[in-house]
Amino acid sequence: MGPISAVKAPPVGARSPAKLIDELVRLMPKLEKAR
Amino acid sequence: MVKIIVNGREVEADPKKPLIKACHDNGADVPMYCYHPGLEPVGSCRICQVEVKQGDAPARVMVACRTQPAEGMVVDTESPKAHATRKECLEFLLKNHPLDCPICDKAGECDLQDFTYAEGQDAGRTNEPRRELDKRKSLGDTIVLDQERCILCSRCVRFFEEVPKQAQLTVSDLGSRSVIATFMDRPLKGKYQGNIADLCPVGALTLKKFRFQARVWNLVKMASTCGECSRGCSTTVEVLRGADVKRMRPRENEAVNKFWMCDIGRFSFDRHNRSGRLQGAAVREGVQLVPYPVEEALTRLRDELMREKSGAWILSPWLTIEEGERIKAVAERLGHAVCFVSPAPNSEKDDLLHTGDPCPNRRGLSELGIPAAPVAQALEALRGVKSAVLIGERIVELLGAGELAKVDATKTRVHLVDEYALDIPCVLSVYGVANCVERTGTWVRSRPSRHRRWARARLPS
Repeated sequence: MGPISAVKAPPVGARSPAKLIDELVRLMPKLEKAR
Repeated sequence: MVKIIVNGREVEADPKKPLIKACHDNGADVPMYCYHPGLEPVGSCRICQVEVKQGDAPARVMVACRTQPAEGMVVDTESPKAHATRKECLEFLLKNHPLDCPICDKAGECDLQDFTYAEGQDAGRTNEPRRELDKRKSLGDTIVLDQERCILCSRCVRFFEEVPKQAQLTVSDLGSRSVIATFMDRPLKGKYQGNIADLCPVGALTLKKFRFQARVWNLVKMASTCGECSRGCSTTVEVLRGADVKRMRPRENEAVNKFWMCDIGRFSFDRHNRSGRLQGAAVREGVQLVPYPVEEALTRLRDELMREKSGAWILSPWLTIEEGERIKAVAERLGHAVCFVSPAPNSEKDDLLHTGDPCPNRRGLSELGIPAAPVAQALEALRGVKSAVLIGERIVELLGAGELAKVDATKTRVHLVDEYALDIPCVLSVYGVANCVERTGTWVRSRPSRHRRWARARLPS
């Protein structure tokens, strides 16, 4: 089997926890600045 | 290592391994039915014959799976003599094999079909009727045997003898009446039955759950990792038209699972195909959860988390190290506690593959410095804070919906990130999450210590 790539992006709705946390962090300007 | 010549090219070969392996390793396409790299060779099907010349002896056709490479050996896999011999073998194997490729589940990935196209003859030369045997013989809950298709390679028989070391199949009767059968017609048992469907080179053994479900050429195949125990067997997830997972099969990984996987992991796709998945977000308004745009729901969550100092993040052990790292960073910035749920070992542990530890990324999350909390301890941590985020697939299943329902809604506000919604008073918001065949990331196996990645293979239903 060759290299793997995702079939396509998931629809709006269910998303990966990583993406959800990234969105949450984006909504936390102070936190993002602090990092 | 010894030096041999394969099709005019000098190569190195391991004298302890069969000649067929040296041929395959060096690009020579030698067909095989009874030979499998995970099983002891028996040389019964004779399809792997190649022309071998050694020393001053004249060249002769030999079975490559039962011949050891020796210094100076000259191997020709494409000689007219080797082709003619294999063609005769193939004709013999096809004498009783039904021509039902159009309705056979194996079509498209069948070795018999492929080698017949490559080396076989256009038409049969016999007028005699083919054997009429049982085409739907159930061998238990998992496997169906089509006796007419079987070419008696005996891979399935040897698998049970050599891998789980529990013989369950045999070749019964003699000559043209020979068939594969279980002892005393007893159903197959154990959790490694599904492997014989992978091993069968011709579609005689099929999985009950995969029969007539899909044509194999319509399946999109993705390299992945099994999430049913901390072993982390390498797998291939096969998806039909971007919707349902139809099959999960082991992917060769000498260090972890060799060529095998257990039926718990193999049939875990049932879970991934369930309906009723949570999409988007919902926020509690009064007595019910109301669908909300994710960004607005997250804004509310942000406001609460930034305001509330008494908070806890309780993680699912199905989270990847990338996800764990992000969550830990956020929790620490907010001054909240963080832990992952560590359920007790289950009774599935065996000497072959299953570790009995249901957490696929226990080690990865532990290495990030996230403490493991047994279920009771995680529930206690949850009850002891004013705001809690439960995050990751199966988190409700691990903690127990009944136990969560007992949480006092006036004291603890719960935000849930899981595959399914849970409408109980303490849950203030819910977010749909992609499961382990829908996202990419890394788990760390319990042993050996290697990182593994999976690839997203389907979309949430």
